Amino acid sequence: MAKTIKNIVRAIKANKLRFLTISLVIAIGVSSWNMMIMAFLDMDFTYNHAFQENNMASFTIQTANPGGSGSDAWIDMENLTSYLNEFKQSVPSFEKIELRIIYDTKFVVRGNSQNGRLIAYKTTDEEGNLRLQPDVNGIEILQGREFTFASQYQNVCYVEGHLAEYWKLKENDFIGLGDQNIPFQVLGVVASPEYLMNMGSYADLLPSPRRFGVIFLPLRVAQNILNVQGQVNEISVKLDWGLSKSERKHIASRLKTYLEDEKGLKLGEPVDLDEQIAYWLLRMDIQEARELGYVLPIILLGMAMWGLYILLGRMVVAERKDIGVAQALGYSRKTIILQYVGIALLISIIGTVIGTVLGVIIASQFSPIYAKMVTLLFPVYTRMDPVVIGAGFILGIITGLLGGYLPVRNAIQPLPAESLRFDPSLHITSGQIPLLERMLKGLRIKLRTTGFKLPVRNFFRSKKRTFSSIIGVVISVSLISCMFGMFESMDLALTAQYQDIEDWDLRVDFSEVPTNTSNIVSAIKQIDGVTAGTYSLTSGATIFSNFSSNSKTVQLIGLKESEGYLGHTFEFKSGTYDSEGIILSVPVAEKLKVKVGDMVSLEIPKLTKLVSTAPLRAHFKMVNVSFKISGIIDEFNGLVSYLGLDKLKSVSNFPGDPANSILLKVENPTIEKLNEIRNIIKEKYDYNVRNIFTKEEQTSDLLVLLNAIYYIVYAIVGFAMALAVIMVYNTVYINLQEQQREIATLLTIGTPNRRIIRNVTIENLIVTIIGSVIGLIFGWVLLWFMMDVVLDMEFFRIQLFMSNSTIFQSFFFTLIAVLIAEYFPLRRILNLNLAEATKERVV
Amino acid sequence: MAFIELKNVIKNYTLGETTTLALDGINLEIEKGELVIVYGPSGAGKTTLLNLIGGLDIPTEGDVTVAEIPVSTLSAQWLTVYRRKKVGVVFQFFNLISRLTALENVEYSLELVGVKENGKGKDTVSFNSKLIKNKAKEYLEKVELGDRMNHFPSQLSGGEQQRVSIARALAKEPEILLADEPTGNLDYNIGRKILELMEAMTGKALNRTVFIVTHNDAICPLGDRVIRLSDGQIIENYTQEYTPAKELYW
Repeated sequence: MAKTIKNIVRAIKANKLRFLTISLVIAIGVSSWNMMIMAFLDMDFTYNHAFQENNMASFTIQTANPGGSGSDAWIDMENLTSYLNEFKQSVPSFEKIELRIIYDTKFVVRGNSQNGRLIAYKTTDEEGNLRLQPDVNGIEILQGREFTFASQYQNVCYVEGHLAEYWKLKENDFIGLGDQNIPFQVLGVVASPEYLMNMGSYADLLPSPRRFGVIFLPLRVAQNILNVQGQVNEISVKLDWGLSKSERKHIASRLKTYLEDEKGLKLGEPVDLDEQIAYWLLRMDIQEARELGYVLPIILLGMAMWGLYILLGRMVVAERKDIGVAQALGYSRKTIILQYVGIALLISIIGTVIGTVLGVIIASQFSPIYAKMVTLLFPVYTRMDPVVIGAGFILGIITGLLGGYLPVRNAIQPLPAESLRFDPSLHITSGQIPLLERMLKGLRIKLRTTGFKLPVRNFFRSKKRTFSSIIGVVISVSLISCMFGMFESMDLALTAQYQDIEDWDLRVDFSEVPTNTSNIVSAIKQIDGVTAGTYSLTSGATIFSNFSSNSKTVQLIGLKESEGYLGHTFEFKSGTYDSEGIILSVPVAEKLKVKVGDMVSLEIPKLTKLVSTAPLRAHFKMVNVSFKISGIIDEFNGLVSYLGLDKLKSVSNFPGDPANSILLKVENPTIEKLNEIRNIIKEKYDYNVRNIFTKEEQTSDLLVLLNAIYYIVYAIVGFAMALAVIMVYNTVYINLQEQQREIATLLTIGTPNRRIIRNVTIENLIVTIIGSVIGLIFGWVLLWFMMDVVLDMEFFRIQLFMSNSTIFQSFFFTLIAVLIAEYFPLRRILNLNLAEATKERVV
Repeated sequence: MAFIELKNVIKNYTLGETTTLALDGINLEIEKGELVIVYGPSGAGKTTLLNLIGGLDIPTEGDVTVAEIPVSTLSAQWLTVYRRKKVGVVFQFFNLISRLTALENVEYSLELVGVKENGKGKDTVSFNSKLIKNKAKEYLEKVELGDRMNHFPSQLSGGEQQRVSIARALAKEPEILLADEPTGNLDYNIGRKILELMEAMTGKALNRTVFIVTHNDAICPLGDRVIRLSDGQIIENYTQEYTPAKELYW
């Protein structure tokens, strides 16, 4: 045993660089396993902890018209409380209930107006004692002080962390609420599990605190400023945490039926925990990480196993005579196999240990960095999971065992006499002219012996090793092209959307829906520089079809065509714009299994009683209206539908010309001109304008994210190149070592060094070209897998795209890696002592 | 000046911590066209001597001059040129390129130096592939392998491989032919045939200087000159009447 160990160590020392590279790949594989799986588990735990600790609602139900007025918008709190107490007798898993106000309004922060949401909850319990937390959907105070008993009589609020961070708000600052700009003092900054990600709705593609923020108020204060004393518009329910989604939905459905049918309330659809935006988005995010966390390490460890297989296979062939001698001396086959397997095992243990340590260290840093990237305000929990670490260790060891055992097992078959007769140098060719060369000969293309003949024949000499080099190139090219492709696809989608499709230069969002928008637009068009203007009304709607049991909730946009200007240039997959029909996006049409010409039914609010026109206050009821699909669009925004504003107006019974946004085209839209126009509009219409922004402002946050992604892309490109260097280095090294005597002979008979370099480079160039072609195909497949399967988000629709520049760069960077890989073995072989090398019978 | 001169040549090899003295103060003069047998036991320095003359190695001390070229002071690049144009090598283990056929192995050597052709009364060097192929075939026929030209080394016997090696070395018509144990890997009959071949294709008429390294003293009578080495020193250096290869026996 001691001798075997000594032989193992000696063999590793003799090939230390090559074994080190394989150890490195194993280390990267194991560390990526540990890092990604543990990061996934950490984030999963962190989210669950935040949700559970803060009593995240199992479902919420709002009134049918939460922003409106009337019985479909508000519910008497006292009555509702008694209804709920009655209902919960029959549902043992009902843990807690919280009644709240959820109201979207305008904020004015540091002189800037923006959209916002106020959430109000009772700061006292049933006995009238102060309580610091709501029973459901709790909050964590990050900075500042708690509500006091007196707070329910004061204009005070908490600001949600994302909003606070954006505007640098802190304790004792002030923000304005609503059109009256009512000043509210900030008591503190809080984190809310409902807003782990700062998104107001699924339709908000580019969430930013600049456009949407959340504040928390005492309920009584909100009731007073909204003039809905004693009323609420949302029920939050916490059930037993262990219930499944279907069980929760069943209870929610029962509650809605009970409250509507037996108590005459008008309610919207319950929103389950899994459908809560932040919860849903974050779960999807870590799910993607988990999928990658399994796939990437397996690829890397597979590569390492193959590398070991090649290396040890070559070692056994080279040492076959020594093996024969050992067998002749009486060593058992088992002992000999053990030696080689021992080599592989030792390499994999080294790689696994390094990978485990690295993975644990990186995982503990990765989760906090990731949390910071997604602006998670809750504490991040990092834990060492012994099961994950153990599994990673086992994977690393198995890589070594399989990579070592398989090539050795068959190679030690021969009888000692056969091994002793074996001349490795005679076994480095198949003795055949490759098919490619014969084909070229048929085309009368003759290769010179000192020209392309040798590299071409070398390429076909050892299929396993050539395959190994090609695999290294394929992985590199596919990773690089996929990464660049992802970035280009996103960039192109955004460019197409915000340069071509969104056909406006300035967008004005109103706080309240005006009903004289056409007059407003006509007036704004008089401003110098404004060349066209139109308006749109955005609301939500649920679409049903006869062809599927699915329904889809979408952002419904009614477009007004003003003198041929729509503010939107459609990218049709099929059909066309018809102001009487409806246009669906591809994901919606696919979900509903509909096409152009089919009829769909929209559930939209219909005005039943007009309370006031300025601001627009009305009672609504939900109605189903049929529309014919006139077009299907393939655009960035996946969950959106369009119809003519006049049609929408008529079916919704809106008075006048309602709109919540105005879109303007400006001649020569420089920043100065746009600001000038913006200021004029603000001056005239500030009483009702929530926000005016340019396209650049709307996309600025996403562009920052894209830039960050660009750096990640280049990091992965570097990683892919390193992998290619490692794989190709090993096979080039072995190739050249096998040909050592031949190359020494060629040098002896007068072949210049540059010709040897050229031959090896041509051979590797052929490998790179073939590997690149296959790699680009895999790159496309990987791009599709990443974008359409792993990152499948129906509200983003991104066309896959890979430019010629990406194809060229993928090939070019990989070629650089291959040339780097061949440099070191070539340098060694060109500095051989010719006298010794020509005499050696070395493989 | 002699065609080949070695003056006070010393060659050391360092392997790890051990330094081995391979040649110890060699002084030698060889005239053009001589067939020299370098003979001695294993480790005497025979191959080292050949390597220094052939430009495969450089001496630790001393000078090696061949045809007035200071071989021992040439750069690596010029040594390659020297080996290409002046030297032909026949190896003990044949050292054929396994992926090339017999014909292609000889062509390779010719493609490096070209083929001399007499055009318009003046010798020129041509790299025309047809000329090269014809020359290669000519030499393979000389070594009686005309019908085995398109075989790969793995399809040839030891003797056939050595004949290809000889054809490859001689096709470019070098001034010096170095053969290191050319029969060491062959049995008597084939070995003798190889020597006969080398004898026929070299010799004074062709003015080619030949060095044959051997540890087999039965081959010594083949040469015009015999140099006996032992422990890196020349023990004997004498000329003689040569004996034809067909009369040799071992």
